[in-house]
Amino acid sequence: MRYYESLYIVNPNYEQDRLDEVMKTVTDKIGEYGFSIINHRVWGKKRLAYAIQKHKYGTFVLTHFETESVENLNNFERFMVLQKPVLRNQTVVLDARPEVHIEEEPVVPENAEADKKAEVKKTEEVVIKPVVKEKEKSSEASEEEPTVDQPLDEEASAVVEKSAGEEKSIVESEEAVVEPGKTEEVQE
Amino acid sequence: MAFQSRKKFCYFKENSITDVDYKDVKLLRRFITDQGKIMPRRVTGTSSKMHRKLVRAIKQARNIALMPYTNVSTES
Repeated sequence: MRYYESLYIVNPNYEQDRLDEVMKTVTDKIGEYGFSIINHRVWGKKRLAYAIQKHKYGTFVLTHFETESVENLNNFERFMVLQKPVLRNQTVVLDARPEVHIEEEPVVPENAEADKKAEVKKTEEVVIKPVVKEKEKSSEASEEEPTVDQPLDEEASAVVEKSAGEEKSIVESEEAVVEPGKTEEVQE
Repeated sequence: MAFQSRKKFCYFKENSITDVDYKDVKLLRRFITDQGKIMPRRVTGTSSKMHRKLVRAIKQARNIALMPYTNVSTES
């Protein structure tokens, strides 16, 4: 027994009734070809990575089915291509039997995860806000002092730098004076 | 050496993933460039075995319009 997964894109402008109709025709055809369906569900309306027949969105429908014979797969592919509401389809071989999808289960954990995320975000916001306030307070409190202190420091440092620079220049000049003398001695 | 590059590792081996699903676009996006090209193995550090599976999955995702063939001038 081999397991297959077929994903096809239905025209996004189709409302639920017509979408159900399309899915029913596909289901009927799969039954006709002797495949047995495991899953057949709407995966969701998604934005396409590139436009297909000028459609930017598409309704993705996912089916899992199993079959003994491989003969009718080409016919099935052909049938899907000829369907006008189906923009694109792709059938893939699966290694193992896919799990039966249950409609209600995946909805609950997603919501729970979303709630958790929201909670985490809230806590983060709560944590962040006081810190910001504290910073603001500290900046407000210390606003006057640094403004007075900083210029002084800068001036002092500037003075130190200047003095250091002068010393260096003096040292260099002395060396410059000394060196020629040395060379003269060597020459003599 | 002045420049020591970070050691590359196989993402799939590290996370013990054995199969790549073409519907998992979030995972596949890690392995394509901004242009939509598949990143080479020497850049990503993916093992040879998993890279083959990855490439197959990306190409399947492209065919069914979950991922772009190219990102140049699609948005205009």
